[in-house]
Amino acid sequence: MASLEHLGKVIETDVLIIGAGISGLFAGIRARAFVDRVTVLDKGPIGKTSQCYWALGGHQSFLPGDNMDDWIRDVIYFEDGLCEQDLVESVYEETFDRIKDLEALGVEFIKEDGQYRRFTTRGLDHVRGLRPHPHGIGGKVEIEVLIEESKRLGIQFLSRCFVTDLLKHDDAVVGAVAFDVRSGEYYIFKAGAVIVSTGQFSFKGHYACQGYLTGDGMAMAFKAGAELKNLEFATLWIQPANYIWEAIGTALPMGAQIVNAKGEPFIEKYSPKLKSKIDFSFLARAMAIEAKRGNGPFFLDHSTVKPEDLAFLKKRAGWMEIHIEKLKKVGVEPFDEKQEWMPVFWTVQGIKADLDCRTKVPGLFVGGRVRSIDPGVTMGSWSIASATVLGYRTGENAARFAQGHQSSGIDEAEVNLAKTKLYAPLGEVEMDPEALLQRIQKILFDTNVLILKNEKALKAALDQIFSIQEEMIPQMRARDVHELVELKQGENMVLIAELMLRASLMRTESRGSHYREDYPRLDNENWMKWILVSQENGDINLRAEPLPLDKYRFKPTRYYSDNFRIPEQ
Amino acid sequence: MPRRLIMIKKIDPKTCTGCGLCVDVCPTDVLRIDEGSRKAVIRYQENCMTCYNCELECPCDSIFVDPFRKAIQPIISYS
Repeated sequence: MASLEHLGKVIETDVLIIGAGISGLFAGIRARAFVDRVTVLDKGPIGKTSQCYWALGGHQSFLPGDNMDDWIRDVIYFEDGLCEQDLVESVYEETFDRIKDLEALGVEFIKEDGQYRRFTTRGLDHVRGLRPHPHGIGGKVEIEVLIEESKRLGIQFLSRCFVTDLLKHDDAVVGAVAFDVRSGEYYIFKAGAVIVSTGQFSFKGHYACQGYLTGDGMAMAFKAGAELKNLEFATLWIQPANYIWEAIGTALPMGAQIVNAKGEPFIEKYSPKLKSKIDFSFLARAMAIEAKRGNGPFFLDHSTVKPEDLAFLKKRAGWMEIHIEKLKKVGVEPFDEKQEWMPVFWTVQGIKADLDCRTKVPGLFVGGRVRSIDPGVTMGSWSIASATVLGYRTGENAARFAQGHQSSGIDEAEVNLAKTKLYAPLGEVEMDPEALLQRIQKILFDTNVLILKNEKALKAALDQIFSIQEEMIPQMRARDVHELVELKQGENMVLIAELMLRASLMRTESRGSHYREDYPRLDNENWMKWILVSQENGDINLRAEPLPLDKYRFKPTRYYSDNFRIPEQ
Repeated sequence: MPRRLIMIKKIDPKTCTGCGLCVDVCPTDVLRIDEGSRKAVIRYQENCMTCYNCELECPCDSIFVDPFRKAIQPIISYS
């Protein structure tokens, strides 16, 4: 250990948790029940880079009296059959336990006459969610109570600590290296087990508060030998053209509608059954087709919402309250006038893990939304519910793993190499990280790369990513440590972009959010499979793994994408 | 593509006390305490994501964040 000290600050811990969102916080609290030393770090301020922090904080919750078969069938249908049935069932079995955990810490969920008020989602028949008080800042409240509980339990927090690499010994993950995003101080973590809980991935995109979602956890796990999964399934969403917005998923089921430039609520032609309740990836697809037909831009119309529902939507707290006030001051009335909205990229994830949240790499566990579960369609309140359950589970399993293993040595040469590589780009700027970000966004934010995909566009985008890797990244320099963070994030975004494009090319069918113009149909015969991406000796491998339908309780019989059709022009 | 770098717009040096709360809560580390003036300054504006954390935390009402976010390449075009 002494030899490591000259390379950086060495911290030993039983369980190291990378990412302090709702999943990482639950993981820490649960791990602490088994081991003494739990460390939670984040590249930003603890808790404030959590997607939950900005959200309404709703949870899908399977309550006593609900029928599990009905819920699982809903999800299989919603996910076009590509559903990890055993995992989804195991999550639902524990959702209410996590609600009770949060209630014990002081979070209140909306009730009517003593019973939980339950919310529908995406036109599904049985799955239901709960929402916390107060409306608008429920997610923030949940994060804050978990931080307080973590402190009470003596969990060590480390803010603004950016992990670049996981450390391995005899093929197992035994720690990580990181740096302070301001001082540049180098950290070496020696851990009994490591949990990656870094949340979803975006390209610092258009959706609310995504400026830090850059795929760092996926990239570090991939480089350490873990498999990634479902990368062809980008989740699409809609947002205002010029500002950010939270909770459109509440407004559309209440009757708000997206209309095209002619004032037509066009989604009715694409999905006569679900209309505006359809998943956002399909709504974005309809908008892209309408735009190609010359019917854009698009506007959100609240005039069709009942007055009492509109009053509920307008009642906000926290950042959205101040946001709406500011918009009004500059003459924008988000609820009273038709505002321009557009389809946007929301997320892609993530890392493959088993029911116990283990990756294929011993010692490396995955919690929350960085894990891959769904094919780019997103049920309301599923993200937070699954993140709480899987965070808790990961904490327990990682701690048990740490208890059963002698701490392993860390290879000084491996640390030295990672450190040298990290600081090498510090210096005079030839190409700055912001230029890299804009180039990535220009390539990926393309209708035919993200929404209406085709082979030609995907291959062209992949070629451009290759040229970034060959010509741009070696030229990148960072003027200071802050820019070094941006540069590392840029490298991670480029890696995930490449893997997304490769997986999109491989899946020659349309399913979930993945739509290929050149293969527009579901192909169950060839593609009831997951695409897994991994790296071996520097080579990227893609393989298709059939779903274990013989082990699952249900065979897919209904498909959500059958609700969507392209109307005649 | 034109970029409108307006998100976090200003921190008023006349009212800022340099308490550093805004620097602590910024998720994307946009702000710093200036070594000379000991006031909060916008150091990395292009990384602001319009979350208002700084403005909400500021005890002196010194910060103004513009509600329009940075222009980002749209996925669909209408031309």
